[in-house]
Amino acid sequence: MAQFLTEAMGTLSDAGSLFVVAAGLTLVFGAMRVINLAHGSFYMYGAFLMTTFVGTSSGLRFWWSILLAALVVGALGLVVQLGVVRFVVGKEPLTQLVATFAVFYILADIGLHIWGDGARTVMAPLAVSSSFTLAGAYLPVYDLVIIGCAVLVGLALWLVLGHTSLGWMIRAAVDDPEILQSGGVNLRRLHLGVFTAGALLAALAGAIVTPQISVAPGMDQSIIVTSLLVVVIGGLGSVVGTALAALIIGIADTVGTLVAPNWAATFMYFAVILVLVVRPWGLFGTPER
Amino acid sequence: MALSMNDQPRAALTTTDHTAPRATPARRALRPMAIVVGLIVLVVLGMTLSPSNALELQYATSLALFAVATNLMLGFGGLVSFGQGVFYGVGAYTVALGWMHHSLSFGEAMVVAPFLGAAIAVVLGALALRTRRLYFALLTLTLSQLAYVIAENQANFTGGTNGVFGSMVPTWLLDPRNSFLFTLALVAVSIAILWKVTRSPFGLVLRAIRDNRSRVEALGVNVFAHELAAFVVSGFFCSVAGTLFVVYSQSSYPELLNWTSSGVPIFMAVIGGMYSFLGPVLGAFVYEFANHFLIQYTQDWQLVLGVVLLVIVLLRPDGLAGAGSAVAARVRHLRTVRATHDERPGVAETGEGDAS
Amino acid sequence: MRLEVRDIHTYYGASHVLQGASLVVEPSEVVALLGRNGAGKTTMMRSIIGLTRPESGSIRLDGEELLGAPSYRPARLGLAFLPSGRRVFSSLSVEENLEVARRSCPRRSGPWNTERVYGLFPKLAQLRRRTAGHLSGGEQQMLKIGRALMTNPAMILLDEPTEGLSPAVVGELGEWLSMLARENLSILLAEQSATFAREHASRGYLLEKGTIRFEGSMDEIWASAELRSALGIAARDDGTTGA
Repeated sequence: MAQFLTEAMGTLSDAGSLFVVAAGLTLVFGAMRVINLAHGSFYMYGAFLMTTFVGTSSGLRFWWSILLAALVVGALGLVVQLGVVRFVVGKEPLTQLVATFAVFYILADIGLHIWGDGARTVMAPLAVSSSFTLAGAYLPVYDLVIIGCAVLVGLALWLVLGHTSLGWMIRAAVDDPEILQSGGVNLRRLHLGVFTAGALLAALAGAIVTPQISVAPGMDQSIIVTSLLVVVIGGLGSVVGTALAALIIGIADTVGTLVAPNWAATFMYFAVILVLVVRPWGLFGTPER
Repeated sequence: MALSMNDQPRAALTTTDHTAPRATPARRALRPMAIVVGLIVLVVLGMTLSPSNALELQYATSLALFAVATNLMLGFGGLVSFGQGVFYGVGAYTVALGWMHHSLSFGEAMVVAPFLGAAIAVVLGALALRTRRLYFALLTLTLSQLAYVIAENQANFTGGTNGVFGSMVPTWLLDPRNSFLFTLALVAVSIAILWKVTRSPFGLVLRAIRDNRSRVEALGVNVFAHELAAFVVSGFFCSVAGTLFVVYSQSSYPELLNWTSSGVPIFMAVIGGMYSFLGPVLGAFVYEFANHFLIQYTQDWQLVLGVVLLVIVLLRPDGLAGAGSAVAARVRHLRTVRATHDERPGVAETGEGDAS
Repeated sequence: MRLEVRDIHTYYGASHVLQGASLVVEPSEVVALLGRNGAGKTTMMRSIIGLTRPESGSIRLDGEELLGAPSYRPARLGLAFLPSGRRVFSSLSVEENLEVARRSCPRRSGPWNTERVYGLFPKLAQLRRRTAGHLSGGEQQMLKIGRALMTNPAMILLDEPTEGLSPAVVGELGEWLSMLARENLSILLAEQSATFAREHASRGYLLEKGTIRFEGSMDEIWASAELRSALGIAARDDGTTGA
């Protein structure tokens, strides 16, 4: 029981942060039909900015740093959207992938200049860096922070997309962008907002996981692959699918580590292949028109 | 003329793609001559350059094959595979592991590797081609990353993160000239075969699928089988290119398989021009020499590559080859306009929209 | 609201679709844009809105130049566009569709709101929670008109509204159009079915191969055997509607 609780908690926390990154990716795809390969760069920037802002201090500054990191990266997203992505909306997938791949390269290089190629760490505030005991298991409090953050993001997205006219507009942009625009909506501005929000979510996830990982170059490259796995399983553009898929990936990883440590890293890929063989457009996706 | 200046790739390719339907006999003879001259220049360079530069030229030559083989799907089949690194890596690992486990001689491995690559392509292609367009790109990217993870984690078999290093090529290939000529010969033969493939009825059907899938489907053509065949042929030659990586570096490591290295041949094709057969060759040489040259002066290779890719993909989606032929067309157009103008003043403008 | 299109040239790829076409819709006027399939009617509509950009010419809406303006501009000025086919926001409910339309032009005020649209189309009120993608062709037509009304327009561009509708629904559509005309809305109606257009429009333009071949009252069009055959109006219509 104790081991189960420990594993379950770790899995949920991993799935939670993964959900927040992937939700940004799928939100952008949903509204703009663009897969942003530089999404992982926003995640990495969020984490690195966190190391800069928090520095050696602990305490309240930690929480402000998360917010600030997310906002700065949101602004970076704004620049990327205005400078690159808006020109590839509606273009062939190849054009979109190569253009955002190029942004990935550029941001990786700039990141190296700013933060160097060494690994950095961030300490969580004392209040959340302890553990608590439940049914004989020692569970890190910080896992609860991440899970809570993911739940909040999920709720916020559910509320906005499902229950506000802004959210309906974002969904309408997926259904028929041309008609939405000719109905009076400035589609570019809508895209700008959505892309900024997507970057912000990636940075939020990157910032919030810093106490649990070592922040280093290359994390952009690995997180984008994992988030792609998530959105592909969940169905591109579906937030609910993303949540479920993040959980599936998290569980696949945990089970893999327990059952066959040597093959653990491959489990999530097989999960993707399995899902796509049955439903090539993902769990909650719709076949491409 | 008006069409080839269009920035929509689909429109561009219908005009720039063919080997000059309007070619005069002189211009038709020009292309093979240019190829022969190019080969001679390469051989001379390979024989005269300093060993380290010759080695770089050899590497660029092998990458040219990787790019052309990838472009069989990208430019001719309209299939964006972000997973060609798998086959490149399979080629390299077949030679390296054959040596490490004393199971295959170099010669045997060179023969086995492409067929192994093709066999894996049958399986992965059958899986990936269930999806289309963006999903296909993402699924192949995923498969590439899966191959990478396996190579990294099965250390007992693959040497793990460090990969395999050692004297895995025969001694005669350690001589830079021999190794260059060997690479060039293999690449030239492979590209010639790929050229034949694109000009065959199969190649025509492939392009027809790219341009109008549903119409070809309606004609009763088995689209899936054609795409799978393209995937397999591409995988075969990507593996050949991978074996040449071992000839170049005498090593093989997991990064050869991952999604960023799968991106490399795509970038070469995009830079050189994916809608012309030899565009990717140009792209491979430009890419590798820029890389080699820039690394000596700046650490910012990724930045430069990123900016170049952005400029090309946003402004010139048909790449350097497209830009070149547009310039050539412009020159030719101006010449015809001038000729028409001389003969019949006042009707020069009729040539405007009609040069193609 | 007055719309004046002057000498526009629009290309689709390399093909020159509109070759210097002009037309005028006066305030509260219902004008038909007639022509066969491929004559350029839809391109004309898309050019006016700015979804396909004309290379040259002028499009003025109450004096404001629309050529080169972003394609969300006309709606904000009160020019609503109803495209042909099943173009509703298919994943949204009926009510969400209407709400998105209202929010798309937040600065336009007028008599129309959700309740009035439901009053006009009680069927939509019953289906308010239904996903728009699951509506029938006629119901989607209702929703499209409702969406346009939510923006409180002064003029409506209707592209091939009868396309794909059953004769019964075409009859209903005619009633809705008469109602819109009574509300003093200007309407530009692109129609392949000349008989349907004749019931509603006072004036018409005949578009042929990208140019306006004839302009005049609907009666004048009907009076000319040549124009009738150009429009493909069946011979049996001669006896009943001939001048």
